[in-house]
Amino acid sequence: MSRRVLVVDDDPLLREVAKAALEMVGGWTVLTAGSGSQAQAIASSEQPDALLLDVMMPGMDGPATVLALQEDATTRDIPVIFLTAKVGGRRSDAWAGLPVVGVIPKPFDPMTLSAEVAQLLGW
Amino acid sequence: MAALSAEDHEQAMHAVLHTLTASALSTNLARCLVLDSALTALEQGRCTDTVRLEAEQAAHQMVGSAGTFGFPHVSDLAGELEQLLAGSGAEDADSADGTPADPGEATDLARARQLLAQIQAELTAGSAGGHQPAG
Repeated sequence: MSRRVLVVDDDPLLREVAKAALEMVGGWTVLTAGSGSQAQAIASSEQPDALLLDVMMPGMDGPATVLALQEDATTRDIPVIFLTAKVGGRRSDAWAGLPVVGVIPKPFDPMTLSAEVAQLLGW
Repeated sequence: MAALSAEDHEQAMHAVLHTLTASALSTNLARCLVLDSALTALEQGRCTDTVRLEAEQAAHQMVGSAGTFGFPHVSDLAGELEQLLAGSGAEDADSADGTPADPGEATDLARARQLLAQIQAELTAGSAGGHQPAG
């Protein structure tokens, strides 16, 4: 059965290109969400195999979304990968201790995104 | 029906990138307007936290978007601009009350203006020239 990945990003074009990359190159089924709260609801109802989660979003940002997923027994075991333009610097301190599998920096290469995700998840 | 080959998938991905790149250019040019307004407000000492944060977010989004859609240099410039905007918030809590910028801030603002002008020039050139996405 195809893997199911939830891509969460407030930029609709980046969501779309990540979705296309994971579907076309990775061969996976991709769900999308445009906010942390929407991601929380979809993760709970759809139980994806992994989340690819933007860090800096309006409202509930990536770290807050991870904490919300952790508080819900139905979502706490879903592995999360941060997808972010922020790697290093003062902001990374805020999410250094969060239970995420890894970080993929933006900009990303759509042709290699699925391979990076697979490597981090051991797929 | 025969399964698609890896090469077919790659070609399909390039077609998607090509389609989305035009939209990404327009979106990033619109983000330049947000940045321009925020820099003007900073230069005039009347920038609110909300305006600065919106500008920081616009620069942040441009880092990811421009690089992914084939403008790696714009992505680098936007990253530097984002850092300058973040620094302006950390260092200048009085900017909204009309206090003139100190010499260090003025230098940062001048650099931010340069960065924005370069970003706009590169995006406009890409828009006019039918830019092809990398990847």
